[in-house]
Amino acid sequence: MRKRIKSRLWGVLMSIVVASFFVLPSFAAEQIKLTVWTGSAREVVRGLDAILTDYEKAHPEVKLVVQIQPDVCGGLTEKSATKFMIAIASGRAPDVVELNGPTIKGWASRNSLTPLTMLDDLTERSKIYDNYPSCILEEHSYQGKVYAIPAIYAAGGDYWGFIWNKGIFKENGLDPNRAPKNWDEILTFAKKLAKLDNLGNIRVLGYHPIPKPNDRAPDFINIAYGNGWESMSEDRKTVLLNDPSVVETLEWIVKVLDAQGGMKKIGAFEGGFKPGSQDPFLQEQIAMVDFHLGYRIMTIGKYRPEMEFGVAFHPVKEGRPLKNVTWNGGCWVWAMPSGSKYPEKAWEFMVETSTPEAIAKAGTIEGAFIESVGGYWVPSESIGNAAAAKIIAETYLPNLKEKASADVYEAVRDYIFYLPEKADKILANYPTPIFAEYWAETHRAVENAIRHKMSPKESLDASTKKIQKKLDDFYKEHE
Amino acid sequence: MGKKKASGLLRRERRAGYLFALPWFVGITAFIMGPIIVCFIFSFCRYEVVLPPKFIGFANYRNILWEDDLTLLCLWNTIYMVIFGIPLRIIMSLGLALLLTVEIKGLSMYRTIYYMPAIVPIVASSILWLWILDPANGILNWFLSLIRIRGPAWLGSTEWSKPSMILMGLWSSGVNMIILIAGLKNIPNVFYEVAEIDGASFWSKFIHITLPLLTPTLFFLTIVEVIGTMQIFTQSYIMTNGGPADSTLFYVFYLFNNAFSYFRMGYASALSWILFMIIFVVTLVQFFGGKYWVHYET
Repeated sequence: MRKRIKSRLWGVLMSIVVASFFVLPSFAAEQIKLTVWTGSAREVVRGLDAILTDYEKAHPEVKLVVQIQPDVCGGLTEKSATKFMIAIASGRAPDVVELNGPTIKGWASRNSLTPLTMLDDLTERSKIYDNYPSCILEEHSYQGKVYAIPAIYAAGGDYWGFIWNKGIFKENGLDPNRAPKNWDEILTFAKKLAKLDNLGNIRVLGYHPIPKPNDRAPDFINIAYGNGWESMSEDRKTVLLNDPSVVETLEWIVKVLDAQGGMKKIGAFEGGFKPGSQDPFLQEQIAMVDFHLGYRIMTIGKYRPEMEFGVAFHPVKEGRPLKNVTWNGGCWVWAMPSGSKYPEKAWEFMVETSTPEAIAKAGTIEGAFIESVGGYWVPSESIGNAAAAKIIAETYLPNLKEKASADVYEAVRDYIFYLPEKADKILANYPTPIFAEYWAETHRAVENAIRHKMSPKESLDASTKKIQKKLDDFYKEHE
Repeated sequence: MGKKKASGLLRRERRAGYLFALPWFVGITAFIMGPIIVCFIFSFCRYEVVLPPKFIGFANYRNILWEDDLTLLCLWNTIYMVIFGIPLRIIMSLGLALLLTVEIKGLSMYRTIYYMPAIVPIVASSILWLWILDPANGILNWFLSLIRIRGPAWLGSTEWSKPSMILMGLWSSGVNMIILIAGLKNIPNVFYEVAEIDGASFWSKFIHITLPLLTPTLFFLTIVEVIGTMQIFTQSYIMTNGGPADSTLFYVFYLFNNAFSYFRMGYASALSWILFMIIFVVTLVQFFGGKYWVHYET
């Protein structure tokens, strides 16, 4: 009897095992495969891994397929995004993609992204965007619809500002703790701080307003915005690159560069610029510079933590009422490509990984990891989400105060964590779908003027005409 | 019967032949002819990849030829490289080839040394030359400073950026040099012997024997160099991004920007067909002109 029961039990057990071979895969098949393209590998960025893991735990019905696509996600222009372009065209796009904010209008205008209609509800929109400067929403919208939301912990973006070397200021009898007040004073300081070698080559450049030889646009935009410029008309149909405020800015930049030897000398000098630890500001080759604040503070913290430096918004022309002006060069966003197979799940993923709590968690974990391997963490971009910045700052800033120099600490506090609070005005990147062309043409206009191929006015007029034509063509085609 | 058997064999051989040729045929159709035809069609369209192409007639060609001032600028930049770069490269290669045909000890070693830069990938050599031409810390300006000369900004200067790239091109003249050595070796020794009996000088032999008999090789090099230089791209892409002030914005780089930075695939296709036509006409002119200066040994 016992034996019979035993053998029956065995039979049942075996049947279950055999059945499970057929049944379990069918359960597994019900799991949704959500494909997400990210710019960084979760194995490398601990903060990203933490929030993705949280999402996977909270949603066992979803299997995240995270694919690292640095070219797609890191591209400032569409040049880097050929793969994404082909994926869209062939109908094999991922469900969610991380993109660079300024490219959103371009993708959206070409029907490559799904509009986030759930954000038409203003309460929903405010949940996400109230923590960001208003220019961020502008960056992610096209023709009244929102196409992306700021993504994960890096969702702050690039801000531009003015940095000076306190050591060189001291050596030359200037007050190291005071930035120049206005454009005039910058020029006076620059002349005082410059040094030449015995062949007449520049050894130390007093001030470089546009220090990236292959891309003059970002720093130029920052200084022009400070001079009261808006890059596009209210209806976004007119390019304002030759606005008097821009002409005035470019004339001043030409004057500043000419006063320091002109582009013949400065061109030779900047030909030796290298990034990272060899950066000309870190190498004390430039005393004052306009630059990407997060990157600059990060490189100082990483390579020359003892360096004495000051950070400020770029000084404006004497008599300008608005002082603390900067611009947001773009933040990392989640977007939903056209053809996303699971739009509801994709939206759920985007929102849950972008809450202030998720951003704060990602940032804290990333910071803690870097501190655990020595040194301290300086985020390379400002933490634009104000709520998340407050949460991270509570644990992070006291820690940083102990470890870092006073200059690094203050710069991180004011320009990485609380920049939006400090700024009087933050403008968006070029709010136009032909962002890449506008950007390239700005660089061209600046180059032609500083090298005296044209006057600033002529150069800006010529570039404006070209961009305007492209914009008109674009709207004719896409509206 | 015999005939039937032979045709069966022929059929089998023919089938095998087609089968062997098939990969090449598929490759050339799918990856060369296909894109060429599609590119031609797109050149009459507005095409942004993610949206369907839209036929716009000759608008792209009209814009390129009459409205886009950058086309003219980048065409001039490219022609500058052709006019100044190619003669210098050929003279340099010829000089090296003449030196390296002299029978001396270690000749193959010298040939290897001069040929080696030609096998360095263009990306690697561009980065190397970025360092050499670095105005502040580069070796070239350091040498110049030893003789109290302030070196130029090289790639950072609108006047020197193209000459810098020409200089860089001279460094990799090894391939031309090898072809010219082969050409020199092909010249029968009997001509030199006769000239020597007549008391001809080195210079006279070079002008009246070497150069005329080398013209077929020089003709070949000129054609290949013109076609290659008209498509110059990598140096500019890696070293200067087209700058400073568009002084190294070459035609193909501009084409690339239109295609991959601005999504204007139709416009870029039209640019490529114009470039093809230019190269085609220039090559025809070269062939026509060749009749007057190329001497074939009969």
